[in-house]
Amino acid sequence: MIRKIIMFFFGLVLLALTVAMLFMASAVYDTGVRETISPYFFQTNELSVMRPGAPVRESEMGETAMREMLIKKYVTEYFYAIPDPNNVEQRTGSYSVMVRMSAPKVLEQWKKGEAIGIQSMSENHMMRTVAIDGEIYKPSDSDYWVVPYVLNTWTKSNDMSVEPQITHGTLLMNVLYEPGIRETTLDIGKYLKNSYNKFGAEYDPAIIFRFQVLDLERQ
Amino acid sequence: MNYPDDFNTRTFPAGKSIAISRAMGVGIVSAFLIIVCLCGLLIWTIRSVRVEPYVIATGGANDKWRVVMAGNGTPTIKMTDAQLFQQSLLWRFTQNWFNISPNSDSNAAVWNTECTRENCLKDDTGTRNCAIFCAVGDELFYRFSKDTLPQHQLFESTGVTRLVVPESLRIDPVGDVSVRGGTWRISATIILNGGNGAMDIVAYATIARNEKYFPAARGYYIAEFDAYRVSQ
Repeated sequence: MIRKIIMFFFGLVLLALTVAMLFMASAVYDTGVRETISPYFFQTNELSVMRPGAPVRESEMGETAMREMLIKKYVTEYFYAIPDPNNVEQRTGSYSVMVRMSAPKVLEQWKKGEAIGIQSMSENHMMRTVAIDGEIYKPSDSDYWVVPYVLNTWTKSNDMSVEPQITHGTLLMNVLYEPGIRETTLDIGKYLKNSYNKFGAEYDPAIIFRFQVLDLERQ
Repeated sequence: MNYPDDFNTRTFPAGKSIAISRAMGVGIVSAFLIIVCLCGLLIWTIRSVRVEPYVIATGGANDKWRVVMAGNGTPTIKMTDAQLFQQSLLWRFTQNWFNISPNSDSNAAVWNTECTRENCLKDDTGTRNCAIFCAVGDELFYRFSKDTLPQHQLFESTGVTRLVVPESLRIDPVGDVSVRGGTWRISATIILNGGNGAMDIVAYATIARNEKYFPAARGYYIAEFDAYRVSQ
């Protein structure tokens, strides 16, 4: 009888061991989906003032340069307008820069303010470009980055005599930035393997970085 | 058994088979556990993705970032037939829209406002008759006739010529481009008056598809075209 009880417990121990090993295998499986991405930057545009000349790693560019690039990217995304009525809708998609790089409060603020203006400009055949207009800096007694910008707005299309209207302004941005790639639910590896180089079908790679605008004020 | 006088105890008759069973049991359990671990490792190996290098091009129009290479592959951009066709349509159309030739007959043929959709079915490629009309939708052609054509005719009457430099034309997609059409950004340099001046332009074009009215271009036509002068 005692022997049978011992055998029963031995079976239980064996089952527990199997469950433990399955658990370990599952943990390894979960680890397996984590992707290692090593980004390089290569600026091809002739107007680029920060052209590194050859691909450089994120770590080689340094935290300051990366933060400035991401701030510039965000500010451009925040303001630019093109005469395409579907553009604002694309900019509010789930993989878009505005959605992934804004805190919910900032995104709502943009949707209720600037996005309405951009939509109206798009429908009226207007175009607006954005440029950073000076140094991006953070005063020592503040959490906010000071970002001066300039907007060029063409109010009429197909008239080559029209000059753009120039508007200067400053954004105060409370930004969360850490070097490295965001741990995200996006299946970036799958995207890179299958569709990154399909012409036109892509999401913006800026969203994979650990960057988020927590608060934003216009001056 | 007479212990301690008799030390030659008999071997336990079932001992050997029990030992074999135990050894086999331990062996099977170990093999089972090893297989479970190997399965996990196998899945891990299959699903792991290491992407290096991962090259991002930045600083494009409206600071568009784009992945130009992921992994060890050669940087390539795949274009579908639809995309190639749309791009090629825009390449020709942009030149037709902006060019003002010193030959007024040629201009009149390109800007012709007396065209019908039947004209577009004829092979008039040599004369480029109705070139603007046949490439655009009705609404855009109405805007062209009302706003742009009078400017063109004024320039022509004062002897102004314009020529898009074909090598300067750059046509990039904005968002998704599909078989149904898409939005494109065009940039180009235009030479004025035979070289006595130049200007850079940026244009956005929306391409749509209607195979019934635009069979010559596989149904593609330009539904919207908005151009701006970005430099003198």
